[in-house]
Amino acid sequence: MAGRLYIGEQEDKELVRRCLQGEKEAFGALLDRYEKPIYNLVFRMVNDQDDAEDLTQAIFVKAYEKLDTFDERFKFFSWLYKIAVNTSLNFVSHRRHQERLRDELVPNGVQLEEEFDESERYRKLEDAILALRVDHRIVIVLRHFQNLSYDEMSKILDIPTKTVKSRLFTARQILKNKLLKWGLQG
Amino acid sequence: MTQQKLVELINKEIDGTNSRAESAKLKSHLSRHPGARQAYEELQKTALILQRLGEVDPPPHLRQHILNSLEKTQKGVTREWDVLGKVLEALRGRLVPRYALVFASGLFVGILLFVIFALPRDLGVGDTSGLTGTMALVPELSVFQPADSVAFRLPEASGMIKTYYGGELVIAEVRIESVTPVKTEIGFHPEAMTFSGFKRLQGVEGSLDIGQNAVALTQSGSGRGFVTFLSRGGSQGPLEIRVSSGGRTLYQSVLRTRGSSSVE
Repeated sequence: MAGRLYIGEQEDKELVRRCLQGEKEAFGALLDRYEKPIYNLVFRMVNDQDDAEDLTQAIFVKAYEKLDTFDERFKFFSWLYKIAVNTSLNFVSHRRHQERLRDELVPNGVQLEEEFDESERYRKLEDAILALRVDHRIVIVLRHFQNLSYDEMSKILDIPTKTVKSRLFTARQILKNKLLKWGLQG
Repeated sequence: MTQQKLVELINKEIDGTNSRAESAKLKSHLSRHPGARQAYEELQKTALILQRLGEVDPPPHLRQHILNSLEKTQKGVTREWDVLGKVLEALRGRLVPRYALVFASGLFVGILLFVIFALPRDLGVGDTSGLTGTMALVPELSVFQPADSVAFRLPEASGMIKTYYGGELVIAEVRIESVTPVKTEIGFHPEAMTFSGFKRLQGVEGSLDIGQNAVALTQSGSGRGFVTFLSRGGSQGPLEIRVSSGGRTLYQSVLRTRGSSSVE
């Protein structure tokens, strides 16, 4: 997916320029490009359709309002993702206590794999991702659901590439352990 | 192989970005270390399981909702841009020095005539009691009596709304903290009071819609402001509070505007 986004990089910048000149339709075009990836990013972070919808809306409104601060030396997609990540992390930190509760409610391996039907399995998998610490969850989401490179993740998260790699490894291990514990991975 | 190198190669192998040489090096290491091999295979399986969760389609109405939000948040600015843009476009390429001089002279004479004939003679500050809006309102809460208050803490937003009264004025102090755009509507009885003014003390930009019997403050982030009402002939009714996000009611309450105080 990341590769596909790079192709439109110059077009993104042209759309931003047109938007800054007052052409609102240009922002509509940017919205067409990024609505789905941003919604998916947010949805995987919060695992709630209503929240994902509200947050996606807030992210695009924020991007629109701050469009004149976008530096053309960088990729628009990275800039937008940065807004999306920060907005999502802020939101998640506000409701972190609820997630802790949810984590405690998830069955701890007493149910057999056969007992889950497929949709239940997906739900548990989503719960397992949601039960990750936010800094682990975000690297899993950016890597596995947004298909971003380590360098892109480093820029968006403002951390060194080395940290991205080690955090991703740790996050994968924790997730693996959860899946094993919850009977989702044999 | 160092632990750090092993971690890197396992990551890259799972992500499919190892070179052929790196893959070979990893496989060679894993063949000699069964524990590491098992760990790698389990991680590989986890990555495959994650693939089961595909992409999610955003709801069809979301795009329009976002565009509508932009219309509300930037309407004024955009209109100004449009007008300014059109004027500049009209002038661009047509301004030769001679005409520019004529235009500037005409503008100067016009401004001079306006200053001489159109401006009022007395520019002193007159009676400001009738002024409303942000410039006219800096309430000193110490001279007002507290009337009522509510506080709420929700996943979407948290905040506090307090009412005060003094003379013919009723003040609603609104403090909201939210991540997503939140609308705080304050309903009032038009036969008992009228909207008088609004003062934003802290926080990010938002909007205030003023209706016949309600004012609605829309904002995102943390913000604090005062909404002021003027009572009609000494009568005052309660204020009806509704906090919502994306059309969904998050919190509702009714606040007194006079009488015994329940403010802590």
